[in-house]
This record gives sequence, structure tokens and C-alpha cells, in this order.
Amino acid sequence: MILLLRLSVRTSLAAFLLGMARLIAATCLVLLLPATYAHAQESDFGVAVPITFTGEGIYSGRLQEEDPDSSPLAPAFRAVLYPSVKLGRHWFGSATLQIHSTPFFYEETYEPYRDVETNLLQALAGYSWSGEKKSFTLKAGKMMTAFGAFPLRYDDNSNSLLDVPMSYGYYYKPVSLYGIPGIEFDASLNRFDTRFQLTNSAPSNPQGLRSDSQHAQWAVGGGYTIRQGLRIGISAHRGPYVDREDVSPAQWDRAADLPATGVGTDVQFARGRWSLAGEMQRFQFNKLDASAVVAHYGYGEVKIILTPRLYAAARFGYRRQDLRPSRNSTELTVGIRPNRFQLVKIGYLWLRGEGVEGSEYDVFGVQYVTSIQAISKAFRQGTAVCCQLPPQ
Amino acid sequence: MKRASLLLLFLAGTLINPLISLSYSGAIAGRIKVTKSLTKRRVTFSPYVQRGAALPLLPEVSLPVDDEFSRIAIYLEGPGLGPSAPLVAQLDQRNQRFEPEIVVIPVGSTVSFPNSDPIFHNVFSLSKPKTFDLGYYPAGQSRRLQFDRPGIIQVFCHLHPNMSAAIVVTPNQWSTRPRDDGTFVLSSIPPGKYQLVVWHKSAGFFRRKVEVKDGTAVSMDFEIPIRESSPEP
Repeated sequence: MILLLRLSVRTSLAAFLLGMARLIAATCLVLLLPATYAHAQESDFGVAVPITFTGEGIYSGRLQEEDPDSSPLAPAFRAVLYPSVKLGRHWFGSATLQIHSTPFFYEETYEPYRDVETNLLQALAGYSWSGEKKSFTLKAGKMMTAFGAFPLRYDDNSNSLLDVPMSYGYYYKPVSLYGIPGIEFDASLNRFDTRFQLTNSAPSNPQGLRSDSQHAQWAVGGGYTIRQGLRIGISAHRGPYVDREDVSPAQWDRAADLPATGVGTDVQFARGRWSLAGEMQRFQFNKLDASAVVAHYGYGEVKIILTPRLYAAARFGYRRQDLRPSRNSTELTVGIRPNRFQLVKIGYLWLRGEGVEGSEYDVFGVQYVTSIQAISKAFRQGTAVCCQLPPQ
Repeated sequence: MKRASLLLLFLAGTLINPLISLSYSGAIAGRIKVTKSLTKRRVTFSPYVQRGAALPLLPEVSLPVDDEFSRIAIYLEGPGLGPSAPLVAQLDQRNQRFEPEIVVIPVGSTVSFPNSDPIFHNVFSLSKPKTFDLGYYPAGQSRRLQFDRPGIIQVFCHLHPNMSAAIVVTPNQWSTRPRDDGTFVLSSIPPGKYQLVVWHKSAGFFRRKVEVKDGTAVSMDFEIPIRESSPEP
């Protein structure tokens, strides 16, 4: 149906182990750097490379689905680098580079392949301006889709749970977490915010700039902040999604006009020690035989801070889709903060639905997440202070 | 404003006290010399910008990076120095920064944390003397905490990693901040052997032993960072 473009570098098992060793060594080196960035002044000119490194252990029967003799336990890692440059108060550039071993994401656990993948999720340049209660941002490059709300929390430090909501992911998902080339305009005025994005491909099937399957399309979204801490939003997208490789040449012209349509609503709430988020989405994928595949996804998420070092979070999600079995997921996670830069998440995912027996698709996972400010260099450094000692 | 008034009163007392109290107690006077800029300028960038209501324009001028004296607290440690009356201080969240960067209070004091921004902050600390998480609360609201153990409490915001401040909880009333020229005075100190502590937000602790005698003023200068050749008193 939908073939996602996997912008990945696949390697052998030896390369996987070598990559793991290099990454762990690099992480250890970076961790030894003095953590001075907490005590510094913000600058408008400079470069920064924040890194979020995650080590993970997964235990699930999914890992034995293809080969019952394989281990139900899998170690994994994910490192996300955010190289960024600020060129004054308005201009900026930013990229998101993800290196991860497979299976890391829960959707990857059905396949036992051990690889290391490198993905450039975002690479964009932008201009932002803000005035009194109004602002706008213009971005161009490869970026996350403007559809939906979860991609804004797509970092293991920001995501309170281990897995992602069911409609998001990399493989056969209605909303891919790969970036899409395009341009985006964001604006906000008082309590309203809006965004408009033009891209070369659908959120469900991102394509590179040299792909034969590019189709211009749009995504829009907007929101209203009812009061501080409570915002509701809507978003939509529409455009061709079919990959040229999936249809015969004779059908190509027709397939190029088949649209995928998505509409969604989202809500975020926070007060005191509680925070909640939720989304409901409907997708329609038109097909060559004049039929359409319709899918409904949704989730609700709650987090409570129990102590300064401890939180608990839960996410309840569902999928209702033509031609595919329904699924309900419940994920519970406890997060522990050993210190400001590190987070340990321990979670369990229950997956239930048609054709699922017992706990065969459940996942127990542990994540160790650490934030590293490997580089943060301002172009305009403050001058040194030097006072004369008083005469003796 | 309340905190500023208290601070002014405290500074005035510190300036006047040496003249009237040296006859029955000692004093420590000196100057801090900061030999290099300790507070780096850096860039923070969030690749995932939160959606929501428009934020007010941030002030063009940031805090001076070379104002290292504002990031220093000076206090005395030692036996026989009793606790002082607690204060009420304030650590504001304004323009996505903590104001001021450092709050110096005696043990038992209370700090209020008003949110003056139209966005949420999530103020927390994992420092040993006091761990806390204030959660989310809107503009115009405040939270208060009492600090019953001396020490340095590093304060951050979960949502804005560039925000950081420190609350210096001193064990007694003998604490001060350097003036604009780096000079400082601790007065009305009972005679005895103590440890003078200078703490800089980036450079950390600098301690020296000092003996205060009745009716005398001890001169003590600090270089931050301390040079290896710096003589110990």
C-alpha cells in the first residue's frame, strides 16, 4: 500500500557493533566535558549541538515472531543530534540527525533485523520575528509535517513515555516522523496560532528531492489558547501519496492524482503537577479502484509529577482501520531523574485487538536518556573582567 | 520590590556596622578579583517550538556577561555563629529568565517564585539541600518555599533549559555580596576562627580560614579562579 522511503544506511552486524562501540565511546567523551552550559548567558549569534542519547532495553514476544528461537530481549540505542546556528535575532538554521540501532522503536520489534540507521530528519533555514503578542516564522528545507501535534514532542526527553502514538512512526504509518522537503509559514496573534506548509510529498510517504514520486501538497493547522495551559488545535493535509513504484506505468497518471486526506484535532492541558495531551485523527487514502481506505486513530496521555525526581505517565491509544485489525494500546511509564541531565524510563505497553492473544505483543522497555550540550559556542564572547587589587 | 528593600537594608547595615561595631567585634574586608570571564555566552535552540499564544518580544539587551560580581555570594562558616532572622526573598520568572540570578538568604528564609511570563515554566531543583518541583502555574501566580538547610540550591526550568538560578542559603547572618568594584565587608563578627566562603555561580567554592580578633578588621582578597601561586593566609 504505502511504501515509506527509508533514507537509511544499512550495515552489517559487524558495522552495527562497531557503530555501537563508537557511539558509546563518543558519548563517554562528551559526558566528560565540563557541564558549564547551565551557567551562561544567552546569545543571538552562535552554534549549538544539543544531543539526546538514549540507551534502551526491550523485552517482548514480538521479537520472536519471525524466529521463535531468537531472544525476546533486545538492546538498542538512539542518538539525536540537533546542530543549530543562530545568526542574529531573526535568522537561524537547524537540523535533526538521528542515529539508531534497530529495533529501537516499538514498531520495529516485529522484525529481528539488527542494523544501525542514520536519518536526517530535519535540515532547514528560517526567519522568525516577534512583536508584542504577535509573531511569525518562515522555514524552508526538510522539516516535520505540520499535521498533528506529537512531532513537537518527538524527543526522548520530551516524550514522557517510551513509545510514540499509534498514528506516528516510520513504517506504514499515516504520519511519518521523517522530515519532508517544503516550506512552512507559522504565525501567532494573541491567543491564535496557525501554520501553513507546502511540501513535495504526503505525511504518510515522505520523498526526497530526487524522487520520481513527488507531488505538491499542503498541510495546515491552527490552535487557540483558551487560557494559559489549555490549548486546542486542528490540522489537516491533502495531496497525492502513491509511490510510483507501487503502480504500473499505465496507472501512473491516475495514481498521481489519488489523494490522501487527513484531519485531526488535538488538545494540551497542564496545571500544577498534571499535564494531559490528546489527539483524534481521521485519514482517507483514495485507491485506484475508486474505493478508499479510511483509518481512525487517537490517543490520550496523562502525566503526573509524583516527586521532583519521579513521574508517572500513561497513554491510551486506538486504531480503527479498514482492511487492518483494530488495535488498542495502553502504555504506563515511570520516569526517574537521577539528575538534571538524565532520565530513566521504565514502561510497559499492552497491545490488544483482533488477532492478538494474551501478552504476545506487549512490550516491556527501559530507557536511559541523557541530554548533552556537546557544543554551544557564541560568536560574540563577553569581555573578561579584571579588577585591580587594593593597595597593600 | 520587597526583596529589593530588604536587600538594601541589609547592604546599608553592612556598610554602617563596621564603624560602630569594631570596638567589640571583628570584621573581614576585602576585594574579589575575577581574572577572567567565567560566564560563557552560549546559544540555545529548540528544534521543536511549542505552539500557542504569541509571546511578548524579549528585551534586546541581555544581562551583562561580564558582571561576574553579581554571581558571587560571600558568607562565613564556623562554630558559634548563630542563625539570623529569616527573610522573604523573591525569584521571579520573567522574559524566560530567572531574576535575579542569585538569591542569598539565611537559613529558615522563604523564597517566592512568581511567574511573570504569559507562558508556563516548570521550576525545579534536584540539589541536595532542597529538592522541589513547583509544577505548572500561570502568570500572576506564585509558589513559596522555605529553605531549612544551608547550601547551594540550583534552580532550573524543565521547559526552558537556558533558565538557571541559584539560591544560596547561608548558615548565619554573616553573608554579603560584592559591590560593583568587587569590595566586600562582613562586620560585627564575634571573635573566633572561621572559614570565609566565596561562591561563584560558575566557578564554585573558594574557602579560606580566617581568625577574627576583637576590635580588628582582617583584610582578605580573593582571586577567582585562584591562581596556583596565590598565597594562603
